[in-house]
Amino acid sequence: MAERSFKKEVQILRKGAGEELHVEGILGVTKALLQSGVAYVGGYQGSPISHLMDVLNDAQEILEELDVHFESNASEATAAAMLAASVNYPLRGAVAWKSTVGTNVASDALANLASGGVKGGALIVVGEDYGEGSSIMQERSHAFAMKSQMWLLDPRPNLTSITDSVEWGFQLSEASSTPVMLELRIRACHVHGSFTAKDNVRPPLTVKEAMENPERDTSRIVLPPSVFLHEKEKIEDRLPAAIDFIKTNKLNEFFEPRNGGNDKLGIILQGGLYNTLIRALNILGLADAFGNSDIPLYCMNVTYPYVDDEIIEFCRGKDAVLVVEEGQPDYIEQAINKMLRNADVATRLHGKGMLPVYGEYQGQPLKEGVEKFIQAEAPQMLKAEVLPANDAGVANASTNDSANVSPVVQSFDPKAAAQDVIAKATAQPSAKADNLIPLTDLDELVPPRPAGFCVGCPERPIFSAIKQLQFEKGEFHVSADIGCHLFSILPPFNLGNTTMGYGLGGAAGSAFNVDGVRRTINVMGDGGFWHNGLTSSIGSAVFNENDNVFLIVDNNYSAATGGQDVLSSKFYVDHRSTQNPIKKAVQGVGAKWVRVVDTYDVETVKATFKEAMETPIKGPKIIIAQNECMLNKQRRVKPQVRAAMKDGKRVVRERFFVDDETCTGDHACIRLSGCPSLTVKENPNPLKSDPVAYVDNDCLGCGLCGANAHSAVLCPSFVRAEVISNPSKMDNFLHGIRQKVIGFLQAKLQAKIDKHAF
Amino acid sequence: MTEQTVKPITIAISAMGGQGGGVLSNWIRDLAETNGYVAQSTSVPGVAQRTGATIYYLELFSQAAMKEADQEPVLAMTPVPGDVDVLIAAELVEAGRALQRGFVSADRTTLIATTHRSYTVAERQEKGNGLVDGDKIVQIAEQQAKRLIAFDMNQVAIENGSVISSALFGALAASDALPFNKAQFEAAIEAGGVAVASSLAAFNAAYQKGREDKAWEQKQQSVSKEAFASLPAEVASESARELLQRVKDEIPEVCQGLVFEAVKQLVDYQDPEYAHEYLDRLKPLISEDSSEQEYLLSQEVARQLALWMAFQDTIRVAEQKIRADRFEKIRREVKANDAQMVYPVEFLHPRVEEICDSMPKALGQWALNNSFARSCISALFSHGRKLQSAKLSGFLQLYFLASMKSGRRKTLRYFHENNNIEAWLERVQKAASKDYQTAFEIAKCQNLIKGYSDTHARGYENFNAIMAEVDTWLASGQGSLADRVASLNKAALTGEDRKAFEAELAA
Repeated sequence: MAERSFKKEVQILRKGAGEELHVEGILGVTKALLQSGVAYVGGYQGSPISHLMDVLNDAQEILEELDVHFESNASEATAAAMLAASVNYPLRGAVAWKSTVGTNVASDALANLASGGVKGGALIVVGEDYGEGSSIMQERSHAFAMKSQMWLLDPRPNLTSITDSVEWGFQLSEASSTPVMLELRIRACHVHGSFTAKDNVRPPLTVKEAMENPERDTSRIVLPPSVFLHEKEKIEDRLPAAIDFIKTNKLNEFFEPRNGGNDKLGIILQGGLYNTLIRALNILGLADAFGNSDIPLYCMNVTYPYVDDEIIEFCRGKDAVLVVEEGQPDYIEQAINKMLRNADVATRLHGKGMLPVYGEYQGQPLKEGVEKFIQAEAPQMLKAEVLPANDAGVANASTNDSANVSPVVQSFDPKAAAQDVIAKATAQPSAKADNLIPLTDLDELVPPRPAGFCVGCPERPIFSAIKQLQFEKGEFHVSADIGCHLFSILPPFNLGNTTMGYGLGGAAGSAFNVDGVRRTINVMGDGGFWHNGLTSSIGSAVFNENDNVFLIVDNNYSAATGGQDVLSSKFYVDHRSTQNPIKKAVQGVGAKWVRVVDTYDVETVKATFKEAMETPIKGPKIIIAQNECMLNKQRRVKPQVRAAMKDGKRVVRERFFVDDETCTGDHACIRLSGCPSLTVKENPNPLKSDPVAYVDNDCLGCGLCGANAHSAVLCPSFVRAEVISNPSKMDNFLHGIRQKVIGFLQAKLQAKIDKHAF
Repeated sequence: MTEQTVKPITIAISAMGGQGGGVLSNWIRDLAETNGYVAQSTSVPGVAQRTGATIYYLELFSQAAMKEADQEPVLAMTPVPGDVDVLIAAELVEAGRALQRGFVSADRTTLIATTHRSYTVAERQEKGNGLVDGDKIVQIAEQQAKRLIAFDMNQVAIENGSVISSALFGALAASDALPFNKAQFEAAIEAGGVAVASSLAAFNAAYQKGREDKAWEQKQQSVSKEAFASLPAEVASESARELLQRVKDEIPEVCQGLVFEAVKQLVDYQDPEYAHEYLDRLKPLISEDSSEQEYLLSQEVARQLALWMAFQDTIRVAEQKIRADRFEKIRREVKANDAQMVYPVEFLHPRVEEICDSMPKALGQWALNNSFARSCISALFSHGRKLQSAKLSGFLQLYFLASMKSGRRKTLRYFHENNNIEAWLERVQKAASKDYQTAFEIAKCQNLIKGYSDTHARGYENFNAIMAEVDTWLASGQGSLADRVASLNKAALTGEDRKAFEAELAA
């Protein structure tokens, strides 16, 4: 059960030719897959393409109608390997994952796939998780395309271009017997726009039909001597075929300059950056809102392979060309320099010298880069009002130009740029220049707000327990993993030393397989565990008799990627086999010391870790900490509760409360929790200035506050309020008695106070 | 230039993950698409967003302009500093973040910001007061924005049983920043079809507030020292009357409000005699203090002494938990209706120390030092207790504990605290004759003694460490120790462990 349901949206997948669809990029891609007669789809979830998997999952019915097989692959490697179905058979297959991390995992299968080549179109949709909102290391998928000789599409980020690119992606793949990667940047995946639908196409050959009529061709198998043939094919047959297809179908676009434009200059860009570049030109007064620009553009919707003669043609006769290529290394710029050199074209080539060497190319850095380019090559093109503010720009540009490369590695600092823009803005007469508050003051006023555990997250208590145990035993080396639990590295927990990849938390700690005063803690989530952690982390630890502590966070879903189901999911799921306990799996690979704990039972979790730290038993100490992801649980339980209340059934709601008179405002509780709903408020006592702890109404009554108050011996301020709706007869009877007695005694107390009333 | 004439309307939403920014952008998109505009929106979902800061971005483009040009517009994916028409902030610090990133420019940006705070971990985890000055952010917002609409939109949403997105949408409608009328906004909510009634209620309330000519509402300043009520003319009881009279006679005007508040709290804590004792303790200080100094020292001591004398022992905690108004407070806080029953479960974990503290001095000391007794007690209290304070057994236990109040002066805890108070007062007094500022800083140090069990013990440790330096200074020190004490006090409140403090101590 995914975090977000697309059950309603998927109905648009049934829409036919000519209908205008208003959808998210991801949903558009799914529709385009069905329009291209895809026979099988799969992949592994992960932002920014998680929703693609969720959409496919919710579209099972529609997929079945079209005989399209959908597989929730265990990992990106599994997904890539699945494309083997397109090697012998003319089956169109598509898989999706988060890149570059997913592509790293998949690259073994991808390399083999690319070597033998494909008969049916093989499309890999990679969500390029780069720049703002990314959760991974900053790298480029481009390198994988180059190393395995696969083709890389980077279409303009509007739904029409994106959905079209799916269609001709398959064609390109088939025309050149090569797998094709379709790169979508984060915001392109989630861009909400519109495109015109085509009819869905039933695959001409279905997986079933292919399976029933096996074909084989040993020359496609990656084994000598074929491998040498494959390399030859790549260079002599597939590459030329691809380039030919790209040229004849005009996949890359030339944009002529508008009237009065300057065709002595040019810009070569990745298709995915088109919209941002146009906006930058627009702000500089060099293009209108419709993309008509004063400078000719060569838009690479296919960023690999390069179509040399197109590029050389574009550059020939121009004074200077700017290459707009996001990320590093600057593969494209390097290649173009070589092309021009070989073709003896004298056009000056700018790129990373004027644009940031690394980092996302948002509007501001592009605007500044293009401005430098124009300042250096044709300053008269810049409108008067743009010029003065950028004298500095001229200087830099010219120095850069004379050297023709950037003197220093530069990146884009959004803050600095922002201050500059604000400075200009505040120079407006509207603001009184004097008694202005300097904007640098914001640096103190705006604390960071990184992503963190949600309200009531069942993973939080585990780290509360570990932190409390640290007070006793000293600091642990904690090998973290990918998943929500990685938020443990942030305040208030500050737990975690490294993260080496999905399911590799245990593996990353394997060097510390020696005796020491304190054992290490190796974390993994259920997502990572089933992705590969069972073998790479647990299996390896058992085999090597690793003596450390292994924590497996079992919250019933692959929570970080959006709550997709996994093998150990607690509930019955249509089309999938769930309810396979992690405990059995680890025991299956020979783990002896295995404990299963309830995450919210902090005392027990703490005690279990203590035991795991101290036990003389050899081999990995595996602690499976279980509880359901609160986001999913709420979605599951809320409707049930609402219904029960309606039917007049007895319902007990729990939430926490802090006595603001008893709380002394030392916030020790917050330093063990960080729960968004355990916050602070002004001190009700006018004599006190420190804010007191306060539980807001988002509280889900998970119980951590109370458990911490006990296990860490915090303070007597915490109260769990049990709110009984539709109380039973018994409730009413007892309540009556209690009210009488308690009321009487309270009256006595009040009388004492009134004696000295003010 | 022509480019600037035909342009998309650019809207950025600066919010926290899970705040419903997606709902808001859907509404805006539907609003535009049904009223002659094409709309594009982008966002960054996924784990990168869980409760963290995030930006939703929309661009709207007139279909009329498209027809005229007979071309499709090229819409950007991310906001560009200086190129944002409307900035909507779903939390005050996120408004600050947007300002910091240059998304608010005086020449064109309408800023719609809620003034409510959702405190970051960085602010909440401080031992003292780590909250940033929200009002200053609003001031900067007012200075940077072309137009600012700012008020507590979260409150408006809550009052109307809705979520902040509806209130933000209402404020947006009120700003007239978009070429759509109120009815068209409401239609978008209805089209959405989710919780329409409550959303519309919040929308309209926010719309009204947004229409008020007042540019923005100053958030209610936190209760400050000046905020004490002036003395009442008459009081209810004889014992209260005496105390009021003493405050009038003995306490300088500037301190009267504060001291009277303290007196009330101490009577509530113990009894009138205790309040008299408090006034007796203040007397000598005040006589040496002066109006040239604006009685700053007296005020600080008056405040800290009152807080210290009302130390939170088990008796006090029990008393606080069984009062009628407290049960009412809980009902209000959990939003229970009259048909619902509310049963509080108290999480208590007294340690041996707290148990012995509430015994008569001699017995308590014996129990603490007698290993057998000690182990018996710790066995009894090794685990935390969940006490049902609104059920008989729980209530009676607390009631019994609270009724030990009359014997508080005999308890071991009282003995300790009282000695420390006396010693501290003596230091302040001595210091006052030596250096006023130092005396002031010493007085302040009481704020280090708070919390319970370990937290409380660590607080005392730090306090004593500082007092040790104070004593040597009192004995033989030259000049002023004020800065030193102040920086030690600050260090004691920084960070979780004592690292910062020990570093400062060694400095």
